[in-house]
Amino acid sequence: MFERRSPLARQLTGGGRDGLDGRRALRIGEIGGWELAQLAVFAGQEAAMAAAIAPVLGADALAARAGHVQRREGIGLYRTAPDACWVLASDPRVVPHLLAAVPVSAGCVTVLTHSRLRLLLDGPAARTVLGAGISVDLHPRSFAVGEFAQTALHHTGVVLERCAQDRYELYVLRTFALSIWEWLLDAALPVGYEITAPPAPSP
Amino acid sequence: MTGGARRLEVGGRVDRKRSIRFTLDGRACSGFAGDTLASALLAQGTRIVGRSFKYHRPRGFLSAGVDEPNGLFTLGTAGRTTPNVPGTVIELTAGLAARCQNGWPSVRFDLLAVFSLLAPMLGAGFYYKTFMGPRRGSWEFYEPFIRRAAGLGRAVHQVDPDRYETRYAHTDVLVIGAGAAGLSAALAAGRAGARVLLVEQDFLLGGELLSGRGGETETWRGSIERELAGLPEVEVMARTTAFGLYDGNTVALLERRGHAQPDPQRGAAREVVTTVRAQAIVFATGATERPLVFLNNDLPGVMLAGAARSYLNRYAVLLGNTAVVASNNDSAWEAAIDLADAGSQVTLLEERAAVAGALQERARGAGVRTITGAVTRRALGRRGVHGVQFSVAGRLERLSCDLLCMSGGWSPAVHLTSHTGVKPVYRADIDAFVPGALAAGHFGAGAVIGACAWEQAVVGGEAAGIAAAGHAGAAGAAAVAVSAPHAAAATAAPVLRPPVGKAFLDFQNDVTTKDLLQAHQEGYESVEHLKRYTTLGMGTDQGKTSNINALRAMATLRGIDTPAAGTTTFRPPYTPVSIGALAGRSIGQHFRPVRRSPLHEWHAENGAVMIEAGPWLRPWYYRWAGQTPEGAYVEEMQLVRRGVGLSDVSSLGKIDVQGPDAAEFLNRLYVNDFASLAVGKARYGVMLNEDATVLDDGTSARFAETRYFMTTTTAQAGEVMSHLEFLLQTVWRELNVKVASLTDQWAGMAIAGPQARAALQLALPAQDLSDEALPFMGCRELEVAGMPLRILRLSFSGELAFELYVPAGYGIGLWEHLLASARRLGIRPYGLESLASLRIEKGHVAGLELDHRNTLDDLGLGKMARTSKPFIGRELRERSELRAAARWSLVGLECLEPRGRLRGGAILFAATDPVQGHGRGYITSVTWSTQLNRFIALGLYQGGLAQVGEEVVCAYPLKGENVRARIVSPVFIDPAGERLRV
Repeated sequence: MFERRSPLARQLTGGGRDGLDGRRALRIGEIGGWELAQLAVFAGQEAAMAAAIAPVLGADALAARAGHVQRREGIGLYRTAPDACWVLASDPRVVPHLLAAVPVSAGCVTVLTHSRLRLLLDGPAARTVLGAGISVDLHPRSFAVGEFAQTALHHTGVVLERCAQDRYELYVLRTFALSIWEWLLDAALPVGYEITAPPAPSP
Repeated sequence: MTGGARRLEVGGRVDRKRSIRFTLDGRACSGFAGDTLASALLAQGTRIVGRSFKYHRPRGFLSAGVDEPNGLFTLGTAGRTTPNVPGTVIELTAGLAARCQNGWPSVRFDLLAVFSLLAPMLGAGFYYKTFMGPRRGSWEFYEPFIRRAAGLGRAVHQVDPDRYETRYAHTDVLVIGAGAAGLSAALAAGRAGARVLLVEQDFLLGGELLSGRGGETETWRGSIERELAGLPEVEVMARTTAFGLYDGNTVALLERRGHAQPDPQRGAAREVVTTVRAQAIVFATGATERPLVFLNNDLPGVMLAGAARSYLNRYAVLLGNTAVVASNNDSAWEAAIDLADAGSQVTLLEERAAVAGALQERARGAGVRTITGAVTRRALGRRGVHGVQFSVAGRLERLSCDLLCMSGGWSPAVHLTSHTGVKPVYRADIDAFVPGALAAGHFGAGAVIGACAWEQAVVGGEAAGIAAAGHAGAAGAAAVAVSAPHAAAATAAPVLRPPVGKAFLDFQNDVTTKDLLQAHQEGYESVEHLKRYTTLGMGTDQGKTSNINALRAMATLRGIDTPAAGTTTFRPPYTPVSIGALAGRSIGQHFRPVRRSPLHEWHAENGAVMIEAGPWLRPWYYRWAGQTPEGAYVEEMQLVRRGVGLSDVSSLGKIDVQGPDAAEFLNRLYVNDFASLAVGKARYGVMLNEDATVLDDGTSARFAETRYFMTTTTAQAGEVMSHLEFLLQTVWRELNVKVASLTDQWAGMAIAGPQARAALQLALPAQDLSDEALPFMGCRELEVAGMPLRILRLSFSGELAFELYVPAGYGIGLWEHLLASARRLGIRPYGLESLASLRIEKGHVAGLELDHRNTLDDLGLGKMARTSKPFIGRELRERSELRAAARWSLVGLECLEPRGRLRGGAILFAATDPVQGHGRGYITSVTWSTQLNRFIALGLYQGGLAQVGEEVVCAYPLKGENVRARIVSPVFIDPAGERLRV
């Protein structure tokens, strides 16, 4: 097995910088240990798909609402389009099971694990830093814990999830990851940041 | 410490215990915390602070706010230089370095004041009429001299070391302006439970209240400010100007943090632009006091009455011992009373014949001498006012004074509400324009809607705040009424007067009543024409003090009503915004994101010289092959032609196409047949735009009955993906097909050269890679060491080659494995330059040829089209113009001159043609051919391959080169494709 490398391998060395007030109000790093697949359903095949994936994802997997992460043991479902959702799994068996379970007549599964980096932004300044580049309203009334948004950051498409009051996860395209990382650190300069290293395991 | 000759011992909002040192033109000065630059200079007795734009007349401060037209300064030094900042809004900070503008050698003694003597010649339109000759283009000759003599401050060309930021914000209710109305609105909305953002351009909250004498209003202001600070969902941003209103309740804010002397190295921003999206907006933007128009009304010492009151009450600066207040409305009376109470000897010249008795009583009690029915005619003095001439009861009289205050009424600040195209409307009762019909969710309060009295502002603000909160859906606790103590009315009842003699309408642009008259006489009557002909209302203040006076004067000249004259168009920004603030952090490496291959780290550590290719950063060439691109790429080409090389092709677009109808989908998409493509095979395909120009080319490999792996060119990857989604979602909804981008998922690498199979076999010893097992255009999915691997046998270089795809995280692992395994075969990496050169030798088209202007036939690919089936672009492809034989189409070019070189973009002429004009075609791609030992090129030429053998001239005017070449087939090597099938 070849070594799996992160494009941020050289950046995830720990350390950080103090902010203007001497504190480090943001913890930033990469989360590892997860698999990602896109599940797409053909029109009129929802029932067949639901039945097929029920053993893997649960009976109500297709009921995941847009913008709301449906969570269950080790699996997160993100409705990304009317006919598609992301399946995020910390259990490496889930995606292979899904690939085997979905009949070609009902839809398809595309493995995307390597296409994204999953970044962690945690701390009282996380919202401020994200607000420097993301135009989504991140106030808890508008973007509550457990919600996600497909939006843009630094001219690239990203998926942002609020995992806790001050904790966000950001899914960025792998090939833009270093640019996004550099942008985030620059935005975090005034508030201070601490880099987590090595990659944190998937919660 | 008094902080200056004109500073009062007590009063004001300055902190006399905190002295602040600054410099003006290098001279040490001091003021107090809480001062503006203007108030500190005025406290010292400084009167002349600038020279006028055109005539270089001495000028002093006219106002105390953002409307200041005269007192502009250049702040900072070197890269931090900021020109044209009104001293009235510069918060005094330690170390501030200010310079006066537009005077030489100084504004106090300005030799360029000689222009005043030429004033009769410098009227409106002077430049347009004078500097257009004697020949066309003369203006370009004169312009530098004129700009040097006239104008404002100068920007510098040095890098600004400061940090600027941009950010986004959202709120239920945005309240713009923190005067009485804005404070009231913010509190009412906040109490109702709404998220509130209150922005104020000043560094203190209170607006006009700050210029009052305190007492009950100050108590109220303080209590509101404290309560706002305690509301968790209310955010207050001082030093922040809302400079633009845009669609969707989007407002742009500029926040200034320069007072904190930010350190950019630590991430402190000097200015921040915030894009706010609000559910509702309360405009509490206040009003601007208008000057009166009389002769010499621009003399230093002539000032707006409200400004004089502000300097007195807010900054404790008494600007005159003997003051005259020229007025046509009640508000100036407050200034007169305050000045008198502070010790000035005040005479009030009131244009109106009658004034409310109570007001007169108060003035009398303060010792103000009042003369009603008095029209101010002329300010007396040369470098500063020392008297005033006025008419009363038909006779001219004079008064001595060292301060002349004036008030011609108030103009609501309708700029923001007008930015989205809503024209302001005229209200005769206050002789002013107010916001036009406000959009849903927009509310106005206070002076901006003509409610100038303090009590009106408070009550109106409260109502607007409640309404705005309701519009935003805030349904919390019922709003608590804001109590408003009684205050004296301050509404204006101005008197209209025609322009009189040579008096200034626009102070910043030196536009006088005479200029207006001239514009009228020459037919520039529309306010928009008037503005452009006279420059009235232009400049950094955008005519905040001048526009209404001017258009009223023009209306009088035209014999029409003021509203019929209309207003000019209000556009953002309300006040100037630095370019740095607009750019924010989109500078340097953050200007745009860079796209890096999964193999990037390896390239960077192993001698690759990188080059930008669109958003991608790709290996241009490797230092193993040479220190210059010219030498290195040739070496790398030789490597591939004679041995084996490895190239990173991760930037190719990669798309997952799945579904029972995937074959049909691709068959409709590509011009060639894909229905017959067997599992385990790949096929080169071309897709067209609907207008039959080529969209892109690439390969699609069939890995399963219902699953394809499509590759596109690097440049068109995003566009092709969008194209596919568009077709599936709107055109062919009946097809059960899904697509997903895999560009980031898979790393790609090409192993190419006669030794490619041997090299790959060393890396994958367990696999059968023979021509029989994996023939040309075959594909296979493997699992190697638990890792998925896709192999496609196809070639871009023209040599035996394989493309390998592996999940991106394993890219470097596979790359290093291939290099290590085949080291004894001499394998090395090759870069983008050689990759592109190899394909030119083979005659493959790429991005330079696929520019959305060329058809399938133009590129020599017409035979690929399967006309028996439908495909995108098939019908329009038959247009006669697109099939014309004389179209520019793909050819190869061989250089005929041993020392000559071909260049991309060179214009092609037939050998017998004169070398002029657009020629008969152009070169798209060029390389030195290691196979042919000469420069070769691909190009588009009139008639295309029908001209094979013809000699042409390749003209490159930028270098003055004309090089001879011959048209040949674009396939320079191995036309039979034998090297691919070994």
